Amino acid sequence: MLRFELKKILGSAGGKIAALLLAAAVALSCWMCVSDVCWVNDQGDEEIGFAAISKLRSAQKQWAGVLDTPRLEEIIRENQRLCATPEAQSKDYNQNDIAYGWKQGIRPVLNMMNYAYSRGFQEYDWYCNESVTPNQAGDFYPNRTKLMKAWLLDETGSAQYLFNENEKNYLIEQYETLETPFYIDYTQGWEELLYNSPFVIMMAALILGYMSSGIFANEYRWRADPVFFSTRHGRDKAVWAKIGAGFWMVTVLYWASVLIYSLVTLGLLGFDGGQCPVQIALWKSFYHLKFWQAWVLTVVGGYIGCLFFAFLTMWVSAKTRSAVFASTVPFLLMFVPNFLDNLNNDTISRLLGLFPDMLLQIYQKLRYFYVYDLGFCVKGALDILPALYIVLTAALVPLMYCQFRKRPIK
Amino acid sequence: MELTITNLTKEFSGTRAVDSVNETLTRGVYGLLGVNGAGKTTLMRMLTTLLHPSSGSITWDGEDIFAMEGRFRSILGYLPQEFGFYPNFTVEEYLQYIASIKGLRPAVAKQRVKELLHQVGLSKARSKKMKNLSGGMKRRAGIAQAMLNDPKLLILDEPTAGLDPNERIRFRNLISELAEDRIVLLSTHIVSDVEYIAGKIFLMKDGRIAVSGTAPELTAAMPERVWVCQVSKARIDAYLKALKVSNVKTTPEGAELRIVSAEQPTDDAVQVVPTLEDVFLCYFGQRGGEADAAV
Repeated sequence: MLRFELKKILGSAGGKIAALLLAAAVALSCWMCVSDVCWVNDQGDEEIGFAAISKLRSAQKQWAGVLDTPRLEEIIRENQRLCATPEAQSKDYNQNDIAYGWKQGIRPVLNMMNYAYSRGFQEYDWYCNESVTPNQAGDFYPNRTKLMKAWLLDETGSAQYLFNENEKNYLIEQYETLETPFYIDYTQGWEELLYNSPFVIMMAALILGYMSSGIFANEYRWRADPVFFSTRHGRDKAVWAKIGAGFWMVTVLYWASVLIYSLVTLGLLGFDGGQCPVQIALWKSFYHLKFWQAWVLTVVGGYIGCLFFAFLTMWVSAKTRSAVFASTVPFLLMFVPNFLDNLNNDTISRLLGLFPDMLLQIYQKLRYFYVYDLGFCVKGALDILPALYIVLTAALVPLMYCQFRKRPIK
Repeated sequence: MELTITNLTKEFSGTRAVDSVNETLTRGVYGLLGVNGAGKTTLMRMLTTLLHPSSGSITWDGEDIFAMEGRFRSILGYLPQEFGFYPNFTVEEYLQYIASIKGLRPAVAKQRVKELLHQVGLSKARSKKMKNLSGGMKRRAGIAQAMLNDPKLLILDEPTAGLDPNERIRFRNLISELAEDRIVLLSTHIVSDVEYIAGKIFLMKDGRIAVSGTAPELTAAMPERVWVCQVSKARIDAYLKALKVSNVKTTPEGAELRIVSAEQPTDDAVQVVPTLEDVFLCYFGQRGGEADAAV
């Protein structure tokens, strides 16, 4: 039965086109990752492609290691040296670009310094690193917590309206317990992989949602329902086969897409840096995650999200008998939160942190301070979401089963 | 093997589509005749458990068919009026899929599909996509899927609708072949479909079984008589409006009319032996005389 149900979905022209679109989205994402990496050469010109990746990797590998105070002092001195060169001091943009190119090996650390030594938690000064001196190196990690505490405890600041005392304490604790010093390495592969992952995952959710929309509704569209429901297993095993087909279609196509995307991207950009903390790219994130852990969370969350979108679409299609209406469900789930976010309402904004679209863009949301006081403990949204949506997805299974099997024929 | 229908009623928004039907069916072929909208499809959908009755019951050998759930559906074969299928499946794939949801084991299903494809004359078209079949071939695939589980109760709703006369005759013969050792209920608004193959015929009107019996019983019990008379061309329309005319045969002098009437319509009208078509016309009037109903 399962084989035939899968053939119904994938054998149709719409199913084939959808699968091709998904493959195209994966290919496009891989290309975006590769084309995002650029190397500024000694003439100040940008290079992209495999040679650029190799040069950047080589430059950043020179600084790989534990980012402790002596290493920070070394980097700050190197930065001061490069900032003092005629090229960096020049008014000519091309000369500035040449100086920029020399800093590419230490650029990730300079970016973190721009946050760590800024005047406020909510500020970012691109040139801040140029004014940091070696004797400030010891403040690098403490500043992260200090600035955040100052923001949280500022009685006139926005944090007062956003968090209660338990949530503030949770955030401070998360900051204080982050393992330091960081281990730094070339992390461009993981950063690009994770940065572009929402595109692949959201496309997968939309396409798989569309493909799921016909699993139940097409029985009505093709007027095959009278025969289907009058058979021995038409109201039990055959319905389970449909649900199974939805599950396996999402599982196989999602994991194939995500794994191909990940392996190709990391294969081209490098697997290095998986053990580095995500704070290298997302300085303010309160989650204690290495890049590889962020990847696991992103793809597993994406899978749960896609499965939830597909099952919800199937339930709507069983209820409405319309594949067209049901196929709009993933779009609504994805774009309504964006609309609600524009309302600038604190309560709505907090609720949005628990919407299913979050699961499709976990890496992007690691930087956001969605924290929830559950009464007995405080958790970040990304600690809650996977468990919450596993439960909701599982709850949809009996719902759609009952909805479809008991539906009378018109 | 007994299907018992007791006080079966189905209402839709206050309208009774099926109204207090009582019948008992045992082995044999039954014809359900009625004009469109008489309630035939609603009755059949209740018999196939697709619709729940508003009141009344249907039992199979004394057991409620809705309580039997899958056990009842395992002895049921159903060809609906609008036979839907999966357009991208080949005929063979379609039958194998239906066999799987009918609970046939794969090895049995394979053999059964092969046999039925041969029986309905679709062996050569086994690899054709369902969407590419002609109307007659689709109907034959439909009867094959209904027969996959060798059903004890075979329900065919308007199986010959839309078929040309040759296909219709072929289909009737096929149903006769398949009718052994089972109950076959054949719904149609085409009189000739049931005239030759049905043992007992139910005439359904406004949701009720108006009259039932074998073809000879129905013709014998007809409350009106059948007449043949010659009329001039100028008077044909007047007769058609005033009387139940079951046939108009044009002649050089005018037309020979076949009229169902309690009274002799003209002085020269000659009484003839009634047919089932005359019975149909007697009960349903001119509504029964739709374009494809006279075959």
